Amino acid sequence: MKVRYFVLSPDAGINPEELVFRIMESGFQGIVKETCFGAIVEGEDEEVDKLAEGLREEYYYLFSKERGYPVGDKRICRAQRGGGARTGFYQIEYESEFLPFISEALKDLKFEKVRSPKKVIVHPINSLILSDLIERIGHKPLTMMSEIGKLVRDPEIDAPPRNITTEDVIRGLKYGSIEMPSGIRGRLGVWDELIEEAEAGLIANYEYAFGCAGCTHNDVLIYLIKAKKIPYVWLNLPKTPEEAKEFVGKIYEFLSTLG
Amino acid sequence: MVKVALISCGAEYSGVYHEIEKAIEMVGGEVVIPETDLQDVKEVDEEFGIVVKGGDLKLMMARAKSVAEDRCDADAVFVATCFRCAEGALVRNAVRKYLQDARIPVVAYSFTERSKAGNFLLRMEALVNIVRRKHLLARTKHEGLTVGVDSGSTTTKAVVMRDNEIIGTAWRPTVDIIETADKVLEEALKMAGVKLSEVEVIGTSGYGRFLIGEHLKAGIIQDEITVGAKGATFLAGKQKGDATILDIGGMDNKAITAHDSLPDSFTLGGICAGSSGRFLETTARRLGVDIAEFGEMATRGDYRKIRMNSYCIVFGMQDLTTALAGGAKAEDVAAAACRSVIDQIVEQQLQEITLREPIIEVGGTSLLKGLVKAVREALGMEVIVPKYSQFAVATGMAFVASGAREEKVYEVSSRVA
Repeated sequence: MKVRYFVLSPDAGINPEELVFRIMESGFQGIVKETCFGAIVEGEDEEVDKLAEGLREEYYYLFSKERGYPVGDKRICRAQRGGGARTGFYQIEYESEFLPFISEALKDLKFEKVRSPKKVIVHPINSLILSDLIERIGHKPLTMMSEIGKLVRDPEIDAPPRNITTEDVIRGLKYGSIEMPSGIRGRLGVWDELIEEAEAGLIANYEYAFGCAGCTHNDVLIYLIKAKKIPYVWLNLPKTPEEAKEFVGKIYEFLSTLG
Repeated sequence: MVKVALISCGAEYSGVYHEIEKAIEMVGGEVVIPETDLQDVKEVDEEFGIVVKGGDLKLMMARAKSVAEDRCDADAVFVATCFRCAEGALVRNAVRKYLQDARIPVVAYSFTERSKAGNFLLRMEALVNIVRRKHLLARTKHEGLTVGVDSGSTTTKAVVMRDNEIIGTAWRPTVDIIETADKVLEEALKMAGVKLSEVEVIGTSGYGRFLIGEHLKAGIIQDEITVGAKGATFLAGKQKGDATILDIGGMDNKAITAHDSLPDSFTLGGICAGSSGRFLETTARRLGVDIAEFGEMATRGDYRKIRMNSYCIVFGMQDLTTALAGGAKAEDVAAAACRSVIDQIVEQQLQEITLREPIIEVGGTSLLKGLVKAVREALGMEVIVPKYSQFAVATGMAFVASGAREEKVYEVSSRVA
C-alpha cells in the first residue's frame, strides 16, 4: 500500500477539485481525498506510482511525494487530534511558495529517464521538491515519509502519532552520544536505514523545514551524506525564475550522471 | 474539560508525545494543537527576538502566539522540548515567559526519551487544577471545620482549621503511609479538641494523597503545588498581589508564582538529592548535629570559605568532608551546604519561572535559618517565612477543603488514582 501527496503549484491552471476529477477519470482504483493544496491518494504501490508518473507528464505544475500515513489516519487527523495542523503541513506550505518558479523551469526542460536508477537521499529529508525531481528522472528518492510509512503501518507499535519509540532513539546513538537531544537521535534512528542505502545525495538550503526535518540539529544529515563519500550536489533554493532554471538544470545534470 | 495546548518540539521524535498526551488525558484534560500559519512562523524571529534554525522551534513560538492572541481555544499550556538542546531551552523559556505575560497558566518541561506519563502527571494535575479549581483557590476566607493532610515523601502533616484559624497541627516522619496519616490526623484533632465526626471535609495532598484520600474518605484530593501556593499565601498574609512560593522538599523542590494566591506558573525540580533537604540531613549527620541545630549553625558560618566543586550529594559530601579534614569550621561547612542547595535550584530550576517578590519559603526546610539566609543572599530578594510554614500544604488543603463542603470535587483526582 502506498500513499502520495499531489501538490499543485499555486499558479496552476487547475484547482484541487479538478485534479481529483482528473484522477477519478483516469480509472484510479484507490482512495482519493481532495485537500487545500491538491490531493492525497492511497492504493496499490504500482498503481499509485503509475498515477504519479502519468499526472506529472500531463501537468508540469503538479508535484508529488510519498506520505507515511494512510488517508484519514486518526493519529494525524485535525478533528481527532487537537485541531491544529501537524508540522508536516507547514513543510508543504513553505515548499509551495517555490513551485511556480520550479514548474516554469520544468515546462520546457528536456531530459531522458535514467536507465540504471540509483537511491538518492535528500536534505531536507521530507522535501517535496527534491523527491519529486528525483522521481521525474527515474531515480528513487530516499525520504523520511517512506520510513514513517513503515512505522505507522506496523500494528505492533502503539506510540502515536509517529510510532517512534525509545528503541529508535537509542538506535540514533550510533551517530552521536547521549549529549545529543533525543529528538534528533530519534530522527537519526529512523534515518539510519536511508543513510545506509544512499548512493547519492541532493542537499538544498531551506530557510524553513518542519516535522521530520524540523529539528534545529537537522543539518547533521549533510555531514553524514558527506562522510559517506557518495556523490552529492549542494544547492540554494531558487528565489527568481532564473535561479529556478539554474537549480533544476544543476539537479538534472547531476542526476543524469548517476545512472 | 480543561483544554491544554501542547506546544513542543522533538516530542514526536523522542517517543514521548503519547506519554504527554496520556498524562493530560489522565487528569481530565483535552489536548489542543494551536492553529497557526506559515506567515506567523515567518514573523516569530522579530516577535520573540530569538532566531533559531529549527522550523519546529519557530512553530512553537507561532503556536504560543496563537494561544496568547486567543486564536486558539486553550485554558493552559504545556511547553516541552528535548533535554540537552540549547536552542530548545532558549525557545522553551521565551515561550513560557511570553505566555505568562499573557496571564495564561503554563508549565515548561524538558524531556528525554525515557520520560513517561508519570513524570508529567503531577505537573499536569496542577496545571488542570489551576483552571478547573480556580474558584476554590480564589476563596480568601476559610469557613467551617476542615482538615488537610499532606502525605509527603519525608514527613506527613495534618492541619485542623475552623473558620479561618488553625486550631490543630501535627507531623511525623512518613513511615507506613496510611498508619502515619492516621496518627497525625489523630494528634492534630486532639490538639484542636475536636472529634473526627465533627469534621465537615477532609482534604488530602502530597505524594500519598490518593492512598490516604481513599482511606480517610477525603472529600477532596488535590496536588501539593496548587494547595501549597494557597497555604503559603494564606499563612504569609499575601493572598492579594504577587508572590513566589519556594518549597525545598525532601525529594523535590517546588517554585510557584502566584497572583492573588492563584498559581500562574510553577516549576518542579527533578529528583536530585543534592538540591533537596536530603543533602542538608546528610551534612548534619556528618557534622554530628541534629537538623535544627544544623540550621542555626549555618547562620554563623561563611560559605565562601569552603570550596565546592559539585552539587551532587555524593561528590558534594566529598568536598565537605575534605574541607573538614583540612580544618574547616563546622559552621562554614553547614553554610556551604545550604548555599549549595539554593545555588543548584537557581542554576537548574528557577529559570523556568519569573520570580516575583515576596518569596514565601515554606516546607520543613524553611525552619532551617541557615538555608533561609542562603536563599535571601542568593536571590537578593525579600524572603518571608510565615508561622506554620512547615504546614503550608496541609494548611492549603484544609483551606481549599472549605470550598469542597458545598460541592463534590473528587472527579479529576479519582481519574488520576
